[in-house]
Amino acid sequence: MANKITAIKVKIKNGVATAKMAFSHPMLTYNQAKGKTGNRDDANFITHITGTVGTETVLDISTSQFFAKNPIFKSQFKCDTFKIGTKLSARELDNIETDLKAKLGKQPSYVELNNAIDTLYPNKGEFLTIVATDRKGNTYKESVELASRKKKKR
Amino acid sequence: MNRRNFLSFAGSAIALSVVPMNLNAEDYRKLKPKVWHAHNIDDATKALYGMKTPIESDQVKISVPKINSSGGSVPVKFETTLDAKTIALFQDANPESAVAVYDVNKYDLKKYEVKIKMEKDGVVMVLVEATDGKIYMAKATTKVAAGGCEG
Repeated sequence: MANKITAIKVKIKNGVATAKMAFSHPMLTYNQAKGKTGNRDDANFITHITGTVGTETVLDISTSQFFAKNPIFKSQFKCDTFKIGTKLSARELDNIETDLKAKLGKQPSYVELNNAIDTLYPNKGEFLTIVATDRKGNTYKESVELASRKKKKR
Repeated sequence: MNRRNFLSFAGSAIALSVVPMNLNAEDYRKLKPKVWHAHNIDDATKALYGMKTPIESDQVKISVPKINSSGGSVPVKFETTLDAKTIALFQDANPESAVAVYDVNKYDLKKYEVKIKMEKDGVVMVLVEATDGKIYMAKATTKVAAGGCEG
């Protein structure tokens, strides 16, 4: 299984963003490596994680081998100075797709659909980018938009 | 200004513009390499913060389950309301004691949740380096039914 960042989720409420990130990584300690391959130097674990929004650092962790296999990290940061987008609901996305289908007369392609969503939804938030490095020198990068749900009208 | 001078000038200007981005992220594995090879909490604390003795504080909170069925993933929640520079997470169940060092920035709300490995029963400790120069700490003991980590 390839090592990667499996998912990043960001929840935004009252100017506070709660970021949760999951990795797919064995986090092999020195002794575990010795047991598996006979060589302590085969140990491989994430050594550093940074989270940035634009040019600002919001999260910075130096890590060791003692995190669980496929580790999960959760942290909170203030996000009231960043631009936050609004998420479209599933119904709105469906409506865009059906409108486009009626307009084109056929099933729209992935690119056409995304372009339509972009034009109808210009209010995009800034992106949270997570960069992680492991002991073997591989880097993992993933980014997610800072977006919150629309408030319900009453 | 001839071409060669101009090129070297341009190069230094680019180098200068890159430096501030790297400054706000600290890699404590390169900065304090001794911390990660210390075999107990005292040595790790000395390697990271010098000879200061940590003070137990109510403003640092840690929560760990009392008994874990597996040492492979022990959930640890910790938070602090102090003005902190760095936050370190240590334990004494594994061959080396350092788990993580957080570099706190102005956006950080200092509330974290992680899952760690523990070989046997032990103490999990959070150390907070406050902006007043003192070290505050909180600790919790936990039991592990089956060790999840051979070191």
